[in-house]
Amino acid sequence: MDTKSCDGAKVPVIVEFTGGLESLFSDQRKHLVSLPSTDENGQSANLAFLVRYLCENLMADKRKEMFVMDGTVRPGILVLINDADWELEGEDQYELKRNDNILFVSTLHGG
Amino acid sequence: MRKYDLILDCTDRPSTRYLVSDAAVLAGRPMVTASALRTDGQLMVLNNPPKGHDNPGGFCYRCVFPKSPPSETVLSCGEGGILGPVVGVMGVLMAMEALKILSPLLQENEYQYPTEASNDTVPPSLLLYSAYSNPPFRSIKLRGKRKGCPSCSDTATITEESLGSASLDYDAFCASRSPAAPISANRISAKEYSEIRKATGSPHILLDVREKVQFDICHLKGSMNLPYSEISRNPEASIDKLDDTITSDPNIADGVSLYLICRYGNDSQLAANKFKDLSRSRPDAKYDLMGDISGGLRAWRQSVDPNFPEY
Repeated sequence: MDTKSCDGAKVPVIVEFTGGLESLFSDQRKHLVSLPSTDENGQSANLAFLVRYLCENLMADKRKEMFVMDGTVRPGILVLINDADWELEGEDQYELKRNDNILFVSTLHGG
Repeated sequence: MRKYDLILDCTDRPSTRYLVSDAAVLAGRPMVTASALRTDGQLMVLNNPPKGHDNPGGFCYRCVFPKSPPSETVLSCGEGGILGPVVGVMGVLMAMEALKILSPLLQENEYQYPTEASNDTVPPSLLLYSAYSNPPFRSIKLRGKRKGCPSCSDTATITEESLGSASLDYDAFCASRSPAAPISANRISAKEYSEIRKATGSPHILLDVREKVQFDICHLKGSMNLPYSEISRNPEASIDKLDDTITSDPNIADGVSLYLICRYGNDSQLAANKFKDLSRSRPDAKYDLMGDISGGLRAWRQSVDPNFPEY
């Protein structure tokens, strides 16, 4: 994703996948992501932007529907901001800060 | 369920997990739920304490997952694999949570009813176990009770009647029926395929679309492996790979017949459809897709070779 609209500032965040989601991201559980500090419209980078950014830049798998659905993270995936449910933090409107830890957890069903 | 003090949910699919949670809420019983797959496990204590006249009750499964996951994203242990010790760890953790609920520590020498004891609000959390991560255990904070939850809120719509009358269709809610694979016209039985193998002068490629780890356990002699996961991830590259193999092998002529096989005949059908879709954009592909083997290797074992290993 081109970031010509911004001054090139980045927000470093740690993105982790677990519960099988890592298979969509080159089988790697932990990624250090340098997210542009503003999104396509010049707004501060929020989680919705991070999810779009991950789809465009980090996701090796073509099956985007395994991760996103209707413009947001699909049902069955919990999103955690620094180990707390994103619903406690404003969901996808949460503005990312340096060194935030964002964990995507796919629910497991095996018994 | 009312006969029991506590429910342990060790089921293996979303539909039963929702059902057990709904029933535990209606019966007013705390529930410990855990799941395991591959090297990961997850554990939650739900409906603890159960709803009472003076408390709204703990959160339930629907509070955490109001919408069920799309069925194609749900992987069972049979498909995904599971390590014994991971299940063991989750089972032992469940047992300990169960003991804590049933016999909480006494405080100031007074006996406490379990439900009262658990009124000391434990923040809603989900315990993640990931054997190969560092650290392997992680407890994450959940939002807890969801306002308007159809199961456990004051405005709940799920009642004993709706559970009993089966007006709630859990399979439909989770769309968890084995996906009716789109009909693929070109299916052949294991028996028919065995005739093709026997016939001389019928060179063909048998493509086994199971994961490599399964292929390595056992496969039909001469078959090639290209996992469906790879095909669905990047169909174009998979076809290139197949074409390259055909080109580089002097014994295989262009336009060779291609058959697909998997364990039960589901993925091979999906793969066949993928190949068919692509052949429109790739009329130059070097193979001729003849079809997939209905019932897969299980059918092969049942109707052709009883000595073929079952795993």
